[in-house]
Amino acid sequence: MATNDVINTLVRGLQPVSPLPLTPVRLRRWMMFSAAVGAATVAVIGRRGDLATAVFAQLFQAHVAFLILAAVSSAAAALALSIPGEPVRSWRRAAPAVALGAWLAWLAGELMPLAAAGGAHWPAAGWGCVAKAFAIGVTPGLLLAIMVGRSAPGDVHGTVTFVALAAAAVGALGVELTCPLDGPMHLLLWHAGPVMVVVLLAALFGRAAFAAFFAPRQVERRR
Amino acid sequence: MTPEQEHELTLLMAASQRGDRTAYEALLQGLGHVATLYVRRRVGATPWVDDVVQDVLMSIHRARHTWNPERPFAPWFYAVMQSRMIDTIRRRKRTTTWEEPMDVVPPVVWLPSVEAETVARADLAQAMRQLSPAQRVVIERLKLQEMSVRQVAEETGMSEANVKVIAHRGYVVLKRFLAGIGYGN
Repeated sequence: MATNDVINTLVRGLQPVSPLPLTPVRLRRWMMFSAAVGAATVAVIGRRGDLATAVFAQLFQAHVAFLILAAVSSAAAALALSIPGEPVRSWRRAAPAVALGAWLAWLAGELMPLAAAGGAHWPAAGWGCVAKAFAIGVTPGLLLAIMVGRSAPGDVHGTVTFVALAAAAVGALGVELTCPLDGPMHLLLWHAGPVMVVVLLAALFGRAAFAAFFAPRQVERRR
Repeated sequence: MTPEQEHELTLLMAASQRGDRTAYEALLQGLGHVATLYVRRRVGATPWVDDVVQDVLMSIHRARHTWNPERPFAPWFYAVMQSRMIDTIRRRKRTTTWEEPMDVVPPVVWLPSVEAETVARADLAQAMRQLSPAQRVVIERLKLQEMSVRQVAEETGMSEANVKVIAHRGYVVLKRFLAGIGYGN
């Protein structure tokens, strides 16, 4: 087929389109939606009984700050990467990993003295926390995936990993509001563990999943 | 892509997003021309240049809603084109490898042409426009007028160390921009 034939076909099929809003606008929409859905899900699940006092604890505040930073920076990176030609500086790519790393380091820092004193015991299974994290994070995650899927990411692998981290961080943030257990081992295994697993799965299989759902739109540069 | 071309293509793209078919046809013709020069410069005069250009145009069509009129058009276009071009070239090479023995495949030779040189000059001019005024002055003096660091420092009233720092930062900007539109990969 000659190039002119392709052009004629494309011109015949032209429909008006609404340009995607700029990344900060899309990020703001996602944050507002996620906050609303997250708050509603937490209300349905039931917030932790000691929340009124926990919010003043440095431990709780640090966890929440790191998770908010991880969620927002991941979503921002995913949305920016999904727009061709949008400059994504290296600090924007690094910020989610730094926030996640800081959270894990903080948890490990809490565990160290306990382990040194011989007080770190294997915690009871926390599948309830995993279920809560899933319930709270799945809708914001799906929305972000749809927003990214409507775009044309060049780096699909990175984009999907950031989407997964954003969703997992929202889920973990919600669990902080619903789970009263503050033991470092519990937090590390049953709050941070699922986040790591989700990110790992996205890094391994995210590209294939994205291609299956959004292949017609993607403008991927295979590496 | 010259600044005039970019301005014209930006207006055509905005009209195309509103559904103007005449503008869209002109846009695709213009982008097809730019893409043809770009692909030829990267891979030489291979018989499948048109295939790559057609893939690029189809990607532009599918992704046209992702360009926001508040953002510059050229980086968006080059990002889409480069992604699609690399993808298509790899697919082509893979297919060619399976279909023909290696010794029958003619070697891809890059032949500099007037056309390619014009494109390279336009790209360089566009890259220079990414620099701050101070960076542009320093790099023009150092590289185009072949002045020494000391001469530039004397002429601009800056210290030699400052000239070197500004030049270094300018090189980083140039390198990043040129890599973004396909040079040096």
